[in-house]
Amino acid sequence: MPIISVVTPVYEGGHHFLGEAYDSLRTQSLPDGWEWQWVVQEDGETGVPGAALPKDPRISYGTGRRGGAAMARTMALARVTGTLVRPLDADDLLSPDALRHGIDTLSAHPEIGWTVASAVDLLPDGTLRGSTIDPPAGPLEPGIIAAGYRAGQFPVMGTTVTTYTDLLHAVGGWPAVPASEDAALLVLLEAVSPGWFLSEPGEIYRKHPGQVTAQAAHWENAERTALASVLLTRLDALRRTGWRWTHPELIEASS
Amino acid sequence: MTHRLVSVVTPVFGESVKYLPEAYQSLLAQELPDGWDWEWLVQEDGDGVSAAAHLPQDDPRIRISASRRGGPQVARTMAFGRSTGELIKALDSDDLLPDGSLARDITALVDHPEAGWVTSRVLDLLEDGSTKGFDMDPPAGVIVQGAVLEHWRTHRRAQVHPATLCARRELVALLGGWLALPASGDTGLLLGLDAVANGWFNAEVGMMYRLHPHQITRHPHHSSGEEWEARMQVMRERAEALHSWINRK
Repeated sequence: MPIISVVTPVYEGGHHFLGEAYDSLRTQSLPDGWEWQWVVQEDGETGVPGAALPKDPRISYGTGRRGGAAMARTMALARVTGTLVRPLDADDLLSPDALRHGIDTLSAHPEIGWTVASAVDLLPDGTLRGSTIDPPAGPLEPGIIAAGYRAGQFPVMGTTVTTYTDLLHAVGGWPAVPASEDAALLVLLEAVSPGWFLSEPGEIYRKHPGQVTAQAAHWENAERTALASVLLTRLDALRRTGWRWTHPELIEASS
Repeated sequence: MTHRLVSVVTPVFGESVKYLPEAYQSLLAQELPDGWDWEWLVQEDGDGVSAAAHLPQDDPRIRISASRRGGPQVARTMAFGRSTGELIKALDSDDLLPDGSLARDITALVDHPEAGWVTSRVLDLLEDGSTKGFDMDPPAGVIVQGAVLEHWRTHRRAQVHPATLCARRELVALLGGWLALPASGDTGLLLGLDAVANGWFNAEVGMMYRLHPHQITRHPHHSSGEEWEARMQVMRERAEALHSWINRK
């Protein structure tokens, strides 16, 4: 039975929307034979977010020392049983059919390593606002993610990605950076495999005061510079190796 | 003479800041091969560390910065992001470099271009000032690509000490630095390096590894329990995915 693992980092106090996230997961319709697993990883060791989760054997909850979302996401990979991984932030929702669109596209296009999707903003007053700057649906223009990163105008929402667990491990999970690890991961995936843009929304992104991306840390500039350096030198190093990631089963099928 | 640089990368958190002056003294005492110099990237892991208060203001080779608390791997990766050297050397704030150790790291990688990284013998530095060696070191010389993973599969640890790593910038960049784990991120990096390149082992002591009550390896999660299992699992799957990726090319 193929499985898609949805990976959610959460910290105590940031867990109040988990019930809504679960509802958005519970109501997903998957392709025949597919099941989902929800891997929730507390960035911390209180167990409080876990106690608020519904009893569902498809949910796997873990804890660990605090170190930010990148660490929690990567730690969650230890309990992933799926061949595919899809992140979901603790305060966001999956759009209807989001998982199916990712699975169907990767199944139909084995040369593709990952999909990303349009996102819908959920405003504090409850209204939804669609994205107006999406790239064209279908294969993503190679380099569009890195170019957007360099220009400071990221073209897609990194958290809408669906990719192979093997590919995610091959790039070392989410990079050990204090922020923007989802965008950084996408830049890395693009460097080694082609991507695909789904115009159907894949995520409902909650805009609310207090969210991590709304906090302006006093060290933000220093962090951003260091992150850009780590990421861009890694891109250069990857380019020099010429490494391209291909799904292992494709290699087996063609040999 | 061409100016060549080794970047020493040090994350600092909490009580360990008080050991920085000793780490600095050990760095000052290093004599490097001709044409080589070091820079020291000290990275405060979160607020209130005040590394500058423990270090001289007038040594331009010391570069201090801070990033939000994310554990040692995030701090090391941020420090790497500020570094410019062709070699990257890990040094924890509570450890010391014995005389000549940086020169031996440099010489190993200069003399053995096929080696991507070097580690060294360690002496534990006990709280009473005495030292204790390890009697299971591998022979000095090449560590063949894949040998660390092979050893790790059986023993759940590497045959060499990841805290002594010195690696080529190109490879650290390629691997993205340290794995995003609460601990063992350096073992994660070592397993990544082992997947892509041969290594080298220096049998002379390359680090004095301080044992003290505040160190991260004393944490109950360090060597057993759910978090330990998760760290081991992530490291293993990463290393295997990397080996499989490279070998199917």
